[in-house]
Amino acid sequence: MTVPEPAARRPRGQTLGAGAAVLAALAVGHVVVTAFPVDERVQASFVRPAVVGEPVELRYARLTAGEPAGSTVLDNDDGTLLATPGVWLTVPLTIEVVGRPRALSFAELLGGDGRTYTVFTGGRSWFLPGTAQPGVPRYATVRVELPPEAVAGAHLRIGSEQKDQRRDDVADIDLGLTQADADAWASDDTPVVAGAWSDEPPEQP
Amino acid sequence: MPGPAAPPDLRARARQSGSTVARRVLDQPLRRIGLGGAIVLLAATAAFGGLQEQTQDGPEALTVDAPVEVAPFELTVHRVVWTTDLPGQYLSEDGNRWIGVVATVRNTSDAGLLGGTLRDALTLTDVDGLVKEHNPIVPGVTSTSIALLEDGSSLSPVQPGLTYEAAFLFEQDGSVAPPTSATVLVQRHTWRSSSLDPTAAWWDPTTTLRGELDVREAVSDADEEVDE
Repeated sequence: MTVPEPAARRPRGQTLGAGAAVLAALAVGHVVVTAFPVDERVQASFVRPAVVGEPVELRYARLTAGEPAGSTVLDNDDGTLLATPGVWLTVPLTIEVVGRPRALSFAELLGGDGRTYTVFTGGRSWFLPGTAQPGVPRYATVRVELPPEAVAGAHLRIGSEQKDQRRDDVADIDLGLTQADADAWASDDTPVVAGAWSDEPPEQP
Repeated sequence: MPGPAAPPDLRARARQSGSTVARRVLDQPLRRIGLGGAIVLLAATAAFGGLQEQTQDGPEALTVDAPVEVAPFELTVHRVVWTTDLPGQYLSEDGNRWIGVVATVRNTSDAGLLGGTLRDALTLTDVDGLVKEHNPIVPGVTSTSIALLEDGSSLSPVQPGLTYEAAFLFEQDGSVAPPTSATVLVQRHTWRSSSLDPTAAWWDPTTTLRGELDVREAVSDADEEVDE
């Protein structure tokens, strides 16, 4: 019977040195990550600025915003009217997708008051243009409710994916709105119409 | 005194490895290892406030018509009523009824929120026959829908800076008598990153106010005019 020899003991200095090296590596990593916070920049969207009436080229679509409108009453174009404690803002969009059929689903409004107004694919503040085909312009309207004080200076952002806009193109459209627009809409109860998407251009008033 | 907790072969391997720390740990009895672990755990939590005195024993009392701050909302509960007929709202079965908690809602954060966060912020308990079951994540039973009083639409998204008058609607089985009282729970959320995703959101609805409120049958505007 052979008795296994006890394992050679590692010198204490070598063990302590290895431990110190690991701790030093962790400390250096922490310093690098905190001193150079690049995560947000790496994941940031590619923001493409635009103004009303000017097409903006995105990776997945060519987008043109029409003249915004507003009121205290929204006409869903289905027989129902929606009230709001603020004002309704509608922005008509022309979407020309690139390469393959696409369903744009992200929209949000950056208010002039610094707050973000959520637009979802369902609910009161709404953007749902459906799947657009390449070569066939899609006409859809974004609608969002907001306080009058957020109207002046508001920007509309449109993107491809509702849940995730990281590392992707996002249109940032300066709506060119002023306090005069906000005041006029806040005192107007003529319903502003926001119907469903269409492949036919909307009728001009 | 009881012997070492570790099996003999494990202790033999520890001796062969030459590690003094491993050998001494494995030679300890189970009770001593457990006690040591508990002390280490307590010391670790104490460093992060584990021994601080708890400032609140439980939910505060909810009173009607008093605004309460429950991040990310300010809620003012006005009344609890029941009715069998609400325009634009559909019961899952004929004969059921709605129990409505009428409240003023304000989103106090800097961004719009979807209705799910608001739904978790106000729940109902101590009412028999609610059709919706308890959600394990949220105390109480969540509402079936939240309808705006002005136009009956579903309140989502909830935009910041706006004040909404709304009814949190809970469907009750019609075979059960309408309640005369109900306990309203109001929850506060915490803004933090998800455990799985770095994206921050409102999580952890925790009850901070609780009130047992009277429930009465809803009176329509036409009835009120007749009464007058």
